Amino acid sequence: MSMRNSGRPWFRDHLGLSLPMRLGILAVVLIAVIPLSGGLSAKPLHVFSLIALWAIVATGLNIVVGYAGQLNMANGVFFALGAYVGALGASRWEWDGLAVMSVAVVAAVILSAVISYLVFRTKGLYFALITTGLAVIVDSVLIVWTDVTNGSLGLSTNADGFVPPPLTIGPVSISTPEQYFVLFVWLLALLVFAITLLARAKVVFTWQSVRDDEVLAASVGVKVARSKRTAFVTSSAIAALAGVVFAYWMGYVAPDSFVFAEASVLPLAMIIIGGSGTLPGPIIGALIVVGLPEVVDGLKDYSILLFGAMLLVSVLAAPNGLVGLAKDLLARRNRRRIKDTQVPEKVLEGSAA
Amino acid sequence: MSSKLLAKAPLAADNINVTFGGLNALTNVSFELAEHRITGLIGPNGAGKSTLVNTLSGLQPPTSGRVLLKGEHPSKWSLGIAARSGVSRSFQASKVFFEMTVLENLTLGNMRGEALARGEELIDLVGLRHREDELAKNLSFGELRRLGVGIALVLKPSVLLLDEPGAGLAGDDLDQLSAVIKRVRDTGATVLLVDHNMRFLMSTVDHVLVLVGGQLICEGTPSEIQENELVREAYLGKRDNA
Amino acid sequence: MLEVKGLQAGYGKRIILRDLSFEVGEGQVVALLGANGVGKSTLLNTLAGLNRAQSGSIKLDGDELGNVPTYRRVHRGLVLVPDGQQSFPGMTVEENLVIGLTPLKQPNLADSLAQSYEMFPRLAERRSQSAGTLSGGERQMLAIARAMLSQPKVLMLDEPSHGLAPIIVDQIAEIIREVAKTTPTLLVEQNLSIPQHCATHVLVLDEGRITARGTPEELLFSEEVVSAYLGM
Repeated sequence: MSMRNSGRPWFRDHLGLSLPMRLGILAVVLIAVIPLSGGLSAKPLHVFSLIALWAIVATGLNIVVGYAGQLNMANGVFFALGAYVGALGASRWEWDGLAVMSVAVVAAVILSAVISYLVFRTKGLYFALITTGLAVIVDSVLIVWTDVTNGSLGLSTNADGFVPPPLTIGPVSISTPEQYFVLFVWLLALLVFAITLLARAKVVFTWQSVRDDEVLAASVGVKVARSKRTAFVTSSAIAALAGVVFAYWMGYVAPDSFVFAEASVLPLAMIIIGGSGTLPGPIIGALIVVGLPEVVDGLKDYSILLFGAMLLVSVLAAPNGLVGLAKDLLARRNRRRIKDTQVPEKVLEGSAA
Repeated sequence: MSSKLLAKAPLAADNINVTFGGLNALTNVSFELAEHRITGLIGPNGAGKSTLVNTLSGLQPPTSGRVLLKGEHPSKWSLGIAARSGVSRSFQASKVFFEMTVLENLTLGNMRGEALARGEELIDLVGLRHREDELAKNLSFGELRRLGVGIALVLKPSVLLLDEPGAGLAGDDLDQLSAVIKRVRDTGATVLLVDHNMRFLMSTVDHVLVLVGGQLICEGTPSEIQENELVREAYLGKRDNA
Repeated sequence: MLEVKGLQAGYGKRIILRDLSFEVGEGQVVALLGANGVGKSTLLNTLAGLNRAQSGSIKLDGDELGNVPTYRRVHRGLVLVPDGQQSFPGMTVEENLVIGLTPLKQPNLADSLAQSYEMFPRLAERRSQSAGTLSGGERQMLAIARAMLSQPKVLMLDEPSHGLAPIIVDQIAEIIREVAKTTPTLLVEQNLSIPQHCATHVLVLDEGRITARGTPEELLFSEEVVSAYLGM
């Protein structure tokens, strides 16, 4: 294996940063975020918490959209599922946070698994249509099913109407904004690390092969339908988990903030702008899409316009997102370096036909 | 045409018919591929060669008839199932994972242990060692073709179906490809080679099947086929006796 | 008269044709034979201007064609009948023919059509029918008739027998023989049926070069041709 690393610095291997390196970075992030949370004032803390949360959702969605290449328009459905389970768990059932999260994730897995068995028989276009339809249906269900969801009035996490209950994960109790920020960053970091492990176990390659060339993938033994299903289920489970913590954090959930517009479409925009199918892409996308309107004064009112413009520019000028742009520039710089050291093609070509 | 099918033939066609909207692409095609042999499949344009490869590889279900794997008829036969059962194929178009490096293509992303060893073996077999970290989309046409053949070998297939691997190649590239195919046979695989380039095909194969108008009209050694009147007529047309 | 000297052509780095030289003169039907994929279509496409020649010269009646675009070549008199009996299926037979008059400055519609219908009575019968309803052989006749209406100086045909039944092939061969009386013709074929009936000269194309030239009696069905086709 040591021959494989020829020419690379010690901290890189054939897949990018080496595993020990990544573990190291993970540890640093997990630890450093704690004092960081204390050092931020209320407004930035809120914004970064929001960014981290959306980064989780976008990273999760990236699995099915970016890696597996299936356009999922129903991500909001699972986010909503998680959020409502979270709100109910906090207010009506008063369970431990871990139990609530488990219920939400299991429900998401079951629902997405059922859908995926029905859907992943026909080609890609239908998946996008079906998930769009699902999103619209669930939106209505949330409003109509007042017994459970309280309809348009929404649900708050606190039964008595005053202080939102803390999110209890075993012995740990999360209630302050600082604590939620740390939780979000931890979840994001662990999620990113988990995906890294998947990449090393070739799971990510399998998804990408399905995205890039289904027929070729099948011809090398990939179970294409199964691959799509696992991507969709994983993605939906992550969305549900994010929904739960969102509910506890916000203290209140209502239909209009979920299904179609925000949790389905926003993460898509983040993925496109940041770089679809890359690890840092969705996070950078979240930073920009959520962070920019907050940071630049007066932009908030024009956020939708800004959005559309960013998306358009992205698709036209940087179809692989900002990460893609960065990679291109790096590659171009490397190619120029190599060109200066190479023998001209003509000398090598000979009698090539 | 012998209707007796060797129970042990790695892959065989049993009375395969394929019809597309009224058109008979293949009619009553039966043959077996002998083990450790390179069998060539020739025939004029439109004879149904690609359709036959598509049916054998699981991409195209036959309208009637069956594909036999070691004498057994698999209940389901698709590209994925075929690949996992040891029957791999290459494609006419240069099908590779363009956004991956050559080595990633040949290890299917699994850069460790046995998979990596297999990938290294293949990279040398198809002569792409000097390009191993290059993204597939930057390869030359000839290199892409060799990579395509390499990908078909990743799962160590017992049967390899090659659909016009030489298309667009000439000279050295073609000689190299021929050598690769022979090496694959030497490692124990059974190969079916379809190609329009007669010189390349005839100098590579051990045995030839001739498909004309969707039907198998004869089979034999390359020289037998080249002397065969039916084959000459199929390619050159009927000689006027006027 | 068509004169080709030292023609080299291909697609980017893939060189398909190397150093081709031949002529098509008055009264001649030059048949260029070759196996599948050897470069026959590439040759005709390059002559017609659909593909750029990498080097060499193509002269029509003494005038170098250079990089002149396809429609100009048609105006100058080099007309190609492509493979596959192509026509405009949504238009009638007559409308298809009229399109053939496009390069002419002052066509006499009535006279031209009359001449065409004389040479191709089958088309006269079907003049108001939609071209999509014609049989394969009739569509091939239509394609040739349309090409003739452009008053070509040299006519080129890409695999005119492709996909046609043997009886029809004989009819097409007969038509080509008629046409060649007034127009030098270059035809490219895999199948030897048409060349048998109407070729005056035969060239064999193998691996991008002309490997044999001669009369039909010498070359058709000769071992040279068979080896080229069957890879011996």
